[in-house]
Amino acid sequence: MYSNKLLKIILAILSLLVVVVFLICYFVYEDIRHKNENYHTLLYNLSFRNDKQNYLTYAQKTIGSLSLDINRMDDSIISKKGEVEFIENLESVARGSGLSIEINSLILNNNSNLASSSIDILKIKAKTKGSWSASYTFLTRLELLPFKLRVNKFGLVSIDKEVTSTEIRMAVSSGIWQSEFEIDVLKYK
Amino acid sequence: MFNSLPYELKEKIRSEYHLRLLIVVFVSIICIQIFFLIILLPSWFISLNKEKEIILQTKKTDSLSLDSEISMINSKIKSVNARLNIINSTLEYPKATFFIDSILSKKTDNIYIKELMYTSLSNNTGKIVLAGISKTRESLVSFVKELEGLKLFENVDLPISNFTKDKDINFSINMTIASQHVQ
Repeated sequence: MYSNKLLKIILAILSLLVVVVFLICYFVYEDIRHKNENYHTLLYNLSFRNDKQNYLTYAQKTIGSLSLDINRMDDSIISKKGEVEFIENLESVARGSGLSIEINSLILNNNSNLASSSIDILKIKAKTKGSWSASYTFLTRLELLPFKLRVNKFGLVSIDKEVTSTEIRMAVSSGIWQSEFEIDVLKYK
Repeated sequence: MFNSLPYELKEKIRSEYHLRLLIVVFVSIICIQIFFLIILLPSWFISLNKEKEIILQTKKTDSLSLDSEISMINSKIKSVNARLNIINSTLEYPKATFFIDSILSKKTDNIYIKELMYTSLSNNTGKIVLAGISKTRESLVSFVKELEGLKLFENVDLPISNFTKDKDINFSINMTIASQHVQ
């Protein structure tokens, strides 16, 4: 028969073991819970990052496929130092239409609506001389230029001295026509 | 009843019995706890592996460069949109050639044009002044009616003073572009 003392020692050890094993179980359980929570947080972050990656890929693809249009849009605005090139372009269109051209003024108009943007409006006034058909061709080509522009005014006057009855029959003067026009065109600041 | 054991011995046996019973209970508890622990262990390993895997995947994708690339692409999109908005909203006007073509298509041989003035008034309105010589009053009136018939102009104004002569009439017609016909 065991002595009571020995049994009490065994009981004490067992109770200690119960507490220790309980604590181990608790910590393992807590660790699993923590690991799962961490896993879900990281999974959420990863899926958020995947969404971002998908958005980036989609945006890059879209911009890539629209690059031609974006370039065309950029080219429709006169570059920072492109006034001279534009004027030369305008002069070549006029000469190509069979007109002589004289640029009267070139003013950079500080538009209040565009103050916060990188774009401004360039105002050009000019005169041309030539036949009716050349002047009209010039106006058509002017409106078809690949620039964002507005024809504010376009006045076309026949500068013939006398109108002959033959010309009246032809319906427009076969002589010299003078046009005065004013255009606005977008330009980078 | 006859007791063969003395009272002290009986108490000792009873106490030993209780102690042994408690030991059995504690051993059972420990067994249950160990069983519970064994059941928990696979879950712990699974959780550990899942966590490791997701950490590895997270490390693979570089968050900083992704964010900077997104902010770059967003600023590019914003800038393109801003330019598009400006292009779409500014410098709009009724195209002169469309209206002049329409006017000229109605002109007869009796109408001689000396002057043409186009002015854009706003995004969707404009003014055209046409001056010239008409052979007869009838041809001038007919020309004005044809212009009105185009339905491109809000009003086609021919001042009455243009009819002072009956032949080779100098005329001036003012036309205001109707906003719904802007091309």
